[in-house]
Amino acid sequence: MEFSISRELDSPRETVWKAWTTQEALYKWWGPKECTITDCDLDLRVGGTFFYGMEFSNGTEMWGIFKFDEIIENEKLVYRVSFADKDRNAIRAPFSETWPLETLNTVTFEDHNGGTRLHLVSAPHNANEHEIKTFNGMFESMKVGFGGTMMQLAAYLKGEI
Amino acid sequence: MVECSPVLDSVFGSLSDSTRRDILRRLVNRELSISEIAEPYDMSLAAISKHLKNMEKARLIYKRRDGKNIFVRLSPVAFRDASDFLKSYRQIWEERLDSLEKYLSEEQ
Repeated sequence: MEFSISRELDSPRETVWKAWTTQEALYKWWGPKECTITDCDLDLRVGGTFFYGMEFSNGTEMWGIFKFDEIIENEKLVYRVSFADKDRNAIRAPFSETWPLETLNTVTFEDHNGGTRLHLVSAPHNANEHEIKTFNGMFESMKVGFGGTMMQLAAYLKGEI
Repeated sequence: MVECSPVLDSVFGSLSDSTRRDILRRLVNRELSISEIAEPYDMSLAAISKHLKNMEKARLIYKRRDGKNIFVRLSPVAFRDASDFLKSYRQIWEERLDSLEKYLSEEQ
């Protein structure tokens, strides 16, 4: 079981690749909404890392780390990602005891209509049985539309409770 | 980032099984007795009970005793938390890619 997401972009492959593989670009776009990148350090080579700190609007600080396994310029980026402490040690996800410590992510860059199609796949890496269960449960539910079903159900029940 | 309660671990652990997901889907419409739940599956009542126990522990369902019969109902609380979580995980990625798109258009 894996999580995947795609996006079609107008920019050429080389430009999109640069946005993913240069520190100053990542500094500008990588952080999710409502968070500022506080720290950002990229060492792009197989065995190298990308370490980043995020500060959220409520003051919480969090760190993440990539370890690069495969780098094919303008084509493919493979890295393991985990939550981290500020000393770069991998730690458990703050929201779950059984979220996989590491997920393996593959990002591919393809030509598409004069632009680029970006595709990301994420799956547990070296995970134990509990971690795989948590990950699979989550995405299996999502895949069969449980997310939607649950939302509808929640809305329905809101009126009822 | 994603905020949610530790109870989600047991929720998603519970949802990792297809029989349990199927039971939940059937419970969306109405409460069912244990034998009604067991009927479509080629499984012992003990095996079904084990599934139900797992789901009860994850707070996805609760049981109601009516005389000799036990009825099972869906519990909305864990569902709502799980749904919010699923939504936000994908949402973070969507937002991140929005941000990439914005960055690329500004650079050009």
